[in-house]
Amino acid sequence: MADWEPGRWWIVIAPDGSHWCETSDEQEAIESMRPGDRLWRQFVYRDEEFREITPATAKQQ
Amino acid sequence: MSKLSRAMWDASTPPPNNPPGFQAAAGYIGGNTPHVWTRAEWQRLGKLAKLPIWVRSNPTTAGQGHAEAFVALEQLYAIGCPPGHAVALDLETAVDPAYVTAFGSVMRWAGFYVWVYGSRSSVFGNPHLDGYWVADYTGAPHFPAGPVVRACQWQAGPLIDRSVVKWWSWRNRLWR
Repeated sequence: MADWEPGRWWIVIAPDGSHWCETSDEQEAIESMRPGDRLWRQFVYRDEEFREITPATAKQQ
Repeated sequence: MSKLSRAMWDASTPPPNNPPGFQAAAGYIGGNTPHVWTRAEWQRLGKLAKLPIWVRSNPTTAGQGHAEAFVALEQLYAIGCPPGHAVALDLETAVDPAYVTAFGSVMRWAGFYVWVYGSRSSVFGNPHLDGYWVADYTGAPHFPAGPVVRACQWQAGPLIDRSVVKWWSWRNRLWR
């Protein structure tokens, strides 16, 4: 199963594509926005799978 | 203060062994600095995130900024730092928007991002270009307020200085 989960980082991009603000505080990012700026939030891709292990390895983990 | 940051050291001359506990290092490519790091000194850092620094603590004119940016580009080529990465412009306490703007225009043309470095008391008097690296020696990691602050040098030491870099900039702007 894989999924996208919201992360803890926001960036604000200016109309010309330049990087204006970055922060782990969403409110700080919003307050920094100027007309035309766009707000982006980090999303983290999480995945999982089963792998065969030996009992000895299992004890170590 | 942003919670996600990475530790960076810088030094006039790199120490013989990479200091432990850091995720980035900054070194000098030219300008009025006592030692320009060699390609071998940069290579010794391996895959550590790296920030090249051009120093001009006594800027004079826009023409000087323009000309020195091309010297900086030559040095970036010499050490193997490709476009798409950040370069610091170290002004110490100088404020010279014309020099900074001229230096930045050439570097941007070449595809580099420029972080303007200087003392907290003066650096904000210069254009931010692609962000500020602020020297603010409080003795504790922190970021001065401001949307375009990318990094903060919070301690000056005898061998290395210590900074913190915001996570996104560390991940997306530094050369490895």
